[in-house]
Amino acid sequence: MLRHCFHHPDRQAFAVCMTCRNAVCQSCSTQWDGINYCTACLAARRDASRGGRAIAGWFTLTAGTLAAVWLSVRAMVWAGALIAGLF
Amino acid sequence: MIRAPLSTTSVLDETTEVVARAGAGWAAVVAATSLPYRFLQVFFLERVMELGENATHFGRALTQIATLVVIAFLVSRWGRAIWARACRLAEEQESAPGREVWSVPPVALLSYLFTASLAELLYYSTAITIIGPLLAAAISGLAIGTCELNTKPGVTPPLRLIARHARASKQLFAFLFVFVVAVMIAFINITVAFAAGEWLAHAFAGLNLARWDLLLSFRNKHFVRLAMAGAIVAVEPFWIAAHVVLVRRAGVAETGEDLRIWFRRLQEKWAR
Repeated sequence: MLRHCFHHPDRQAFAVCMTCRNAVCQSCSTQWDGINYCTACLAARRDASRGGRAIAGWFTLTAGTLAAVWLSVRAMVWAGALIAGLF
Repeated sequence: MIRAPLSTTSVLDETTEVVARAGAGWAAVVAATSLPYRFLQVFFLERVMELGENATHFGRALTQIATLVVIAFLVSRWGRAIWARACRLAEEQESAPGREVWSVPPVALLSYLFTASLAELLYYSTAITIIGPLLAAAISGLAIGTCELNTKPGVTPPLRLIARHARASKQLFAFLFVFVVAVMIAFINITVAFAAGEWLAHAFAGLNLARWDLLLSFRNKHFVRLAMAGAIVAVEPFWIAAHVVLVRRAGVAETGEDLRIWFRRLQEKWAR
């Protein structure tokens, strides 16, 4: 049976998107890691991966700030005691 | 076509314009948030001096004060971020910025808190050296200058931004020298203002100020330290604005935006 592109009904289908299972034409299909995806599903995957990276970024940034603040308190006391001993 | 070099004097000239345009109201935010931090620093230093060699036995008490200092430090950095935004907007709009100054992007603010805390850590870790605190001050300046360039959350992007702008090392160290001198001048002005006030009160109001004479003299180290803290707070808005201008100018020089602006202005001039 001849299938047509989900996004372009006038075009002949070239592949099936492995996420939404829709038939897509050559221009709508992208092979990534050996698997065919349609443009919309590939964009959704990219956004999901970006979101994950953003969460990781927020987490590391917050953790880094808290660590630096905690160490600052320690360093301040240490420097204070050192200065007090010197004078 | 000759590109104007990124000179310290041209940046400082622009800084005075930007500070005047941004307005005293926003500068007051920096001063109001910075004063508690500077005074708590003085308080911590005085307790340490008071304890002397016994300071090591009072670790818990000193840690409590240090925690308060660091909390005040975080509040002061928020004030700095607001002022830096006010300066940037004043520079872009060529007019006084409005309420949009309050909305500092969360990524920029947290990235700045991270880099500023690292600079503070470096400052305290190297407090007994001369180079360490100067280096920490330069990094702190770059941290506030690059604050609003942070768009992605993460530990490395703000550090990369600082490293990229650290190439203007000549201007950064010139700023250090200029602002150290400025703090000294501000300190002299503050002490002279107190002395003048005391003299006027004595001469015209006939008040007996013998006690105040002792309190506001250089023999009183508490007064000297507080006056120094006040001098730093007075110079701080200019210090921040200078770094915002430096980072912006270094950025436009890198992208060629300065040439485009210059060419546009030239075309406008010809059209008239």
